[in-house]
Amino acid sequence: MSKYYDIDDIIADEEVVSVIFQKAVSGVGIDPSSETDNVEVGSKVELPLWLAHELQLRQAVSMNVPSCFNQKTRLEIQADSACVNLRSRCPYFYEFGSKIAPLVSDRTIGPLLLSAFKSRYKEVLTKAHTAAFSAASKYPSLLTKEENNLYESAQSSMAAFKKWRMGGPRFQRASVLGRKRKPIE
Amino acid sequence: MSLLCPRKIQEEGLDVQTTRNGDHYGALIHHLALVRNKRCLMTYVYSRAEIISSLIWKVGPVLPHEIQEKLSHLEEDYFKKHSAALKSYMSRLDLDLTVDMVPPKDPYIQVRVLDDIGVVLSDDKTTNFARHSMHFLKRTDAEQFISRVGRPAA
Repeated sequence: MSKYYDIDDIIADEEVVSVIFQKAVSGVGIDPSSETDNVEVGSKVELPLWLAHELQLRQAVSMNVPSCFNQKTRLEIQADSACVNLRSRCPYFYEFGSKIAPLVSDRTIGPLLLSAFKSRYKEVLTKAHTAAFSAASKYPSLLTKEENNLYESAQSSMAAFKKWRMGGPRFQRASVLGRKRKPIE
Repeated sequence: MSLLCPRKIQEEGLDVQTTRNGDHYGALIHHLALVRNKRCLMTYVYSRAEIISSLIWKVGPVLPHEIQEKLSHLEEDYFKKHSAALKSYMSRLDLDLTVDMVPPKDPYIQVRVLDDIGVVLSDDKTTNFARHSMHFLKRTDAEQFISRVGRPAA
């Protein structure tokens, strides 16, 4: 419940998963291939995760592993994890993956996420520190939302460190228009 | 709509308490969509409210017109009550919390005098504030002069 108001969590729940209906459903127009407002048993439909999750818990659908965790992506991550464009696959790769992992029978998603994150994290920090002031870098466009947050905070901490080492600004604005301290009695 | 119609379930010879037919799942999906929409709307209102209460720290207790016109009546009310609550808290503490958000690094600062003020007595010594002279002063002593002129000190 702590994430109820978390916008990123809401958007991550919006990723689509393909499911196969195990139960017939009437009165909803969620199957684009069906002409009526009914869904037959065995029809394959793309649903957002928030809906697929709840239906899976009630055994109304069975969930397939989403395409961003397919064999091709895995091979690319094994080859050179830092160069894989995870943003185009799924901007919420890790969040989505950890939501999906307990729901599907595939037990390898967890280790995949962990190894991908570990190897990419190193690269994120290195790039953020070395390319700190080249704004034209294309690197951030490969990162997921979460990695991008890390990248930006690494950059700003680096900038803050440099500023601190230079000794800070010589001129200060006089900020005495109010009184923070208690008046001395 | 025929959703959740017990008679239909009985006609099919099923148990009303435990049966899960197509209507049940249809209703379930409608309900889940409703809950989802509620969450999105609640989050929208909540994050706006968060921003509004942060405005008081960023722009102060009076909102500029271009922000004010974007708020709904309830939000304006929320802002007013929030700033009133903060104000009463600050007056009880006898502190203005909205100034000096970044703590000063050094209790002493170097100032350059912009106008002839003459000889001034501070706690421990007398200083001659001649024009363009430089002094190393306690921040609290210098502040009263800075705020009088309203210009930055070096």
